[in-house]
Amino acid sequence: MTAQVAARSVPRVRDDVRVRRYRGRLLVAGPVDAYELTESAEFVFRRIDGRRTAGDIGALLAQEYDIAAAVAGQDVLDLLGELTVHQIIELD
Amino acid sequence: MTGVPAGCQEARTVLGEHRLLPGDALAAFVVGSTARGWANPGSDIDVVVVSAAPFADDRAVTTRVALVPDTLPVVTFRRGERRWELKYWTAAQVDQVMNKITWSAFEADRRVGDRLTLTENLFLARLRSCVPVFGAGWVEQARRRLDGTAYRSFMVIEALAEADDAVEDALGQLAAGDVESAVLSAQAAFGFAVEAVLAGHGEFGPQPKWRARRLRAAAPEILPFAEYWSIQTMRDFDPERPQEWVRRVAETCRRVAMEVEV
Repeated sequence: MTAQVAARSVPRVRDDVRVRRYRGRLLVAGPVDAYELTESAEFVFRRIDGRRTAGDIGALLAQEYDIAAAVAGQDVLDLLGELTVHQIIELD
Repeated sequence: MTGVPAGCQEARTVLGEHRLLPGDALAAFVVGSTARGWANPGSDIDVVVVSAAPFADDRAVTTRVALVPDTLPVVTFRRGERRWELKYWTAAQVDQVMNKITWSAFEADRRVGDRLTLTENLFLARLRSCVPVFGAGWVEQARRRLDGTAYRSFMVIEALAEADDAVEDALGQLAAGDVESAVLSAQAAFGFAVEAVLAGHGEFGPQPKWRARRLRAAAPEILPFAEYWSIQTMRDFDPERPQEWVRRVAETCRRVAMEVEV
């Protein structure tokens, strides 16, 4: 299950989320579950600042990994959807 | 002993003069501000002595510890203007403390707060920066043993958890309109976040008064001294908009948590 996220949505990390770097990987823990982020998911997570839109982050991901903007944009929307469902982020 | 901080040079003489180095001593080392060269004229000179058997001397008072044996003899006296404090550990007590922070202990329960007492923590924190005056080989071996434990990870996790709790307090207080309490909580959160950075660099120590010195010594890339000092001294705090400062500090604490390796 994922939440519907639009390219104009502005994600922000919830105040009660905790993050740890363990053995080189970033772990994020919401009120229910904890997740180990992949390298690209961490790239996205680190750019969530309450100001950038999902579309902005998608463009950065495309640039960083040299992939098509549409693919990167959809990947970001999917990830943000999952993070929203699992109460790691909120959307404005 | 050229280059050794003042006080450390004196320690060996003092131990001999006062007959305070037991025959079965394994090591004696100066710890704290004197060992680091940060002492001022009012600073105590703190010395730790480790011996095979418990130290017994009429001049010692004992403090209780959660170890076997359950006492730690302490001798204090003045010499000139300086107050000296000597704590006597046994090698068995040191063993017990080291065994509390093994990697298997870390995997079983990562909360150091329930594991080490303040006395034990202080002993470990000071071991890395101590200056041996007797038994340098024992000290080196103890340092290597400490480096092989999960102590650093325990301390990082503890500090990050405290920082998280304080950030949650600060943001909750902001939401409730209690701005003054939020500012105090943000200050506390930042202090814990800095401790996490320092612990990540092997700079341990529970005393906030040395935080600036320790940060300069560690020189961490993730928190340059100028940024640390700006927040610590609240240089950018605007009394008209305290919420902004609290949020900035909360963001800094989260950034630290993302960067410091547990």
